[in-house]
Amino acid sequence: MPKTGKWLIHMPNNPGDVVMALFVVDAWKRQYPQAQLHFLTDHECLSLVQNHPQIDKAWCTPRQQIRKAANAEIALHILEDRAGALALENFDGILNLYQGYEGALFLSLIPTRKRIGLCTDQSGEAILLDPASRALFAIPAERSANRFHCIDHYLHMAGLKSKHRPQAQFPPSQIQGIPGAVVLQIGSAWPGKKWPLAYWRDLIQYLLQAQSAPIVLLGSPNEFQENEELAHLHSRIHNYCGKSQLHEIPNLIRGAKLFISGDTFAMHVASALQIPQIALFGPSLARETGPYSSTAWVLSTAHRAGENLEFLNTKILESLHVQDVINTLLGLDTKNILLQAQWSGHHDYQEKLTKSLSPIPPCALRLMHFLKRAQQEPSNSLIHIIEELEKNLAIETHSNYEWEQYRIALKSLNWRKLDSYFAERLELLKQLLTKFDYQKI
Amino acid sequence: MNESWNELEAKIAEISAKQKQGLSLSREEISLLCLWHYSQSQTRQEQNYA
Repeated sequence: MPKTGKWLIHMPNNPGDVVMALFVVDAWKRQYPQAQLHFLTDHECLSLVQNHPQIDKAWCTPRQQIRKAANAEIALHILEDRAGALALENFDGILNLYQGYEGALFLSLIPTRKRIGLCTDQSGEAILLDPASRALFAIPAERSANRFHCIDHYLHMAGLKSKHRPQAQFPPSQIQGIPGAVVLQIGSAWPGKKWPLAYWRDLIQYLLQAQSAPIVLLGSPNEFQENEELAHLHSRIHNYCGKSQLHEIPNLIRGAKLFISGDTFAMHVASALQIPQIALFGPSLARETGPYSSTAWVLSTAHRAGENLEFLNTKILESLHVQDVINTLLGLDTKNILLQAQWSGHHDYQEKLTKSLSPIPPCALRLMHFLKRAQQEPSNSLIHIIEELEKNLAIETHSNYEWEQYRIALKSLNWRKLDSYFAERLELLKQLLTKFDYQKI
Repeated sequence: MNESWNELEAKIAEISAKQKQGLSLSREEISLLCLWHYSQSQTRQEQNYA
């Protein structure tokens, strides 16, 4: 696959995902320096790719303008205008790392010779053409079987195989951090990813006593107040919450001697910069979206096989205690830590990935075909039975049905469009569908 | 939502019906479908999970 032409990479949100995509940009440019890489992202993440040393041109999706448009006619004009401008670039290929349906539809309006990732067919249905994309979509649905980091999936989709661990670069900014500081990201977008504030307070008290470096607190503007309360503990604590733009965060972390956070955007930045770091994981899985770094330690709560991701469970990180973090800092054995991993981040995963990619189960293909070609909407009774079956399976696998629904809704993929799905579920669905002449498909 | 968005919603219902029949969509229909999904989508930031 030629990687030397002009390519468009699409990752609209969220900031942490855009940083993971920047690892792909780095690997691509190192392997094919003559390639022209354009990057398409949402307005909120645009500053991460504008003036980026490895990105030839940054593009903004029309999402925000459409949502602010006075009427549908104006919104359609905005959409067509943006698609038309991108079409003029005559891209050799489009790499779509995003799982949302609306992104695949938008990219289908841009002619190109090669498409990787989520696409649409002639009827506008979402399709996945390549096995690596299917494997990516299996995250997190088949997370119990997945052994590969999300960035490794991205690299495999792009066909990039660097012998060296890719990093990620960031646009230049004028803001300066405090060299040698201990940097902490207290908050998180998700309630389930937040370590209790009282734990942070105790950890900061320990850090103040154990070392003399200043402590920098990062966070979004709406986290300013709770960070300000921590900053009042000592004059060595500096609250930078809400005082910087997204693209300036790397400079605030660069040069830090230690970074501690949950699973956040800043965690990915710290891993890109190879800052020594401790990442606290609860609802998400470190092996999929943990720090892609050789200098990171991940402390995680337990995950049973098949367990779903409880992003809204505010109690989930309470089982990671302050003493666990302190013991990790001291290189001591930790108690109450259910998993302690030192992330290598090397490319040995990719070879394994090639061997482990499994084809979509035949029953899944038949199911998809059945649902897609059905001349009418499946009956309400069939949908009801399937939903009940999903609930029962969720109970049996200790999974969180609400999360599955959320995931599907967020990714704009309803159950008709999932072609990578639980093999076990499909098997049971197949049994169910025998009542509906499934075997004749 | 003003009238033009309501009209778009009606068109989307027609397009969805074509999709379910496995029929090909025109470029204009794809654009409208895309517009609709963009207008309905919320980023995590918009959901206050930034």
